Amino acid sequence: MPTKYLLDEERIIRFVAWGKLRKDEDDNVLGVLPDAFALRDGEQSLSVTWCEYFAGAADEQLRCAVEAIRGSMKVSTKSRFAVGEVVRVRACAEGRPNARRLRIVHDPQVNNAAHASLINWPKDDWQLLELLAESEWSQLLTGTDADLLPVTACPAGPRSE
Amino acid sequence: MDYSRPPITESVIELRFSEEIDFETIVKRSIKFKRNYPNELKNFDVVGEFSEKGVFGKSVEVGLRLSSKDELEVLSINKNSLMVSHLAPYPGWNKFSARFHRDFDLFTELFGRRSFTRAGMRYINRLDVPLGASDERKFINVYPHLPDFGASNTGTFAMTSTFELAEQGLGVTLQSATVESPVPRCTSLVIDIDVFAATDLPMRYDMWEGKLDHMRNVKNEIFERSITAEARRLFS
Amino acid sequence: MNALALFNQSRTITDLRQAGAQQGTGGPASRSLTDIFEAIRTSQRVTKPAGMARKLSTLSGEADLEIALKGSRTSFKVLVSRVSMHLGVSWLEKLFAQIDSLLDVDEWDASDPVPNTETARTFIRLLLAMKVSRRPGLGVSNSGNIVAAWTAGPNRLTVECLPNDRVRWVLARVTDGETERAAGDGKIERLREILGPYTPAVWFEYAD
Repeated sequence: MPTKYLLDEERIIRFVAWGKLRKDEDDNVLGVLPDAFALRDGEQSLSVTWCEYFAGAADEQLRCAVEAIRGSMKVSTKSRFAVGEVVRVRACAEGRPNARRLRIVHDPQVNNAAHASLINWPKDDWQLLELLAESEWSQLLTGTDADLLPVTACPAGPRSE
Repeated sequence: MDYSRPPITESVIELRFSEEIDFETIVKRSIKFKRNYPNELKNFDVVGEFSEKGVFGKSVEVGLRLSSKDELEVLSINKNSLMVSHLAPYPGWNKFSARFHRDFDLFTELFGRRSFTRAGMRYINRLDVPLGASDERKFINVYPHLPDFGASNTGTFAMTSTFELAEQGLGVTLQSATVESPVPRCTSLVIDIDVFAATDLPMRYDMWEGKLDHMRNVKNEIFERSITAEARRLFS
Repeated sequence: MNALALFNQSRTITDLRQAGAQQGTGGPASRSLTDIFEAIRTSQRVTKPAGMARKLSTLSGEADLEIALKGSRTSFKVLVSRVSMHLGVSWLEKLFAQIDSLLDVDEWDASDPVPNTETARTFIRLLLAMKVSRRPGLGVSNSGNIVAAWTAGPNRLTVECLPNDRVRWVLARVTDGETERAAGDGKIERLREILGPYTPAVWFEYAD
């Protein structure tokens, strides 16, 4: 099957657990910690969910992507969903010294058809991860925010073919 | 003497009794303590057997360690002891003794009156001394006395002294030691005072109160005489 | 006074041997799903074999995790207690609340190793070495290390607490509209000096 690359104008969502959220001393969420975007030991690529896999309006696609995540893993009450644009994430990662070209590809999984992988994602570049957390991949949705988005049957969109 | 930041890292009141309580009874009857101590762990003794056949060991359940939600208040009920302890920050004698009173009364209600064989009150103090001020004699009066070997300071030490205060009907184990400090750029000195009694131990709390106050006064005097004015400046 | 009484000390908490008690299992967090989303999830299954799908915990696995997190919370609090005379009671209460929140089994990502005493020890010594007035927010790294984060508007300092007093840090500091970024690693004793040019009071002290 040919590799399907995500387009610059498309969006990706990264699940952020409570422990990877940036908080103040009173546990108010302020953003994301760098490790939310770090590869774990043994991982070769960064896992995300691709919004434009689904058909529909932008907010409907966002809802579907969140539901795809919810269907594939334990999503706790206090966790968040970090929404990023491919173009900004790519520019940030590829703008680093000695950066390799990112390949952002559709990589469907058994329990998440909209799964995508960021290949050649740098390891151990904490400054990059902090920059992403600070600005380039910092829009956060709570579960409650997601629940307010419109509901559809989440059919696969034309980009999925 | 009250200090704004008392150096007490752990305070303990322990009562031992000869008539054992079996582990299953401890588990069954300790449920009422859960309101104040929601956390529970088991206490074990390890029994080793050494013979020509080899070394064998097994762990034996001897009681429960119950702790408060913040883990600072601990109650241990074992087959032959009851221990009430508090980790730092020390809440003060009034609060600590009131908790002991509460737990002693409930223990008596649940397990019956006991004939006690030993009562101990142990306070572990840790003095965090800035590096560079490392001569312990500036801070404590309990340290080893060594001949002059030409050493620039006494380095590390640990010493134990046990003695009787016959007129008071008490024994004391007094320990001092240098320890690795949990505070950066410091070294720490421990003054560990265990005041105990093995005779004339009451069964009812109303008779215990005076005895505990007395033991505490003795403990305090030992502490005050074990430290210097320089030490007091560290935690006043 | 017999010899046995004389030489037999009152035991302390650390003298007693302990083991994890069997705790009641919390069970997986429940989600209320509408029928439509159940249908959506069903319709999204594909026939390809799993690649990076997350492994669901077994019930016994979750029980083990709960016990491990409880042990971590206990150890962490005991370590904090040992230096509480330097932190103060109000710090203690709030820090304990943060520890409970971070190491809550309902919120814990099972892919993260449970923090051990070494990272907690470095974290506490970091607070003392920096003489901070302001508590950081707490997180955890993919390696199970405590992450301390201070945020003052656009100014961010993030410190991962490694074993043996080592830390890894990254910062963004805005001065006169310009953002400076830096990252490094080293011992906690050096950190205040390294952060000196960035005026760390912006993170460690409360604004007037």
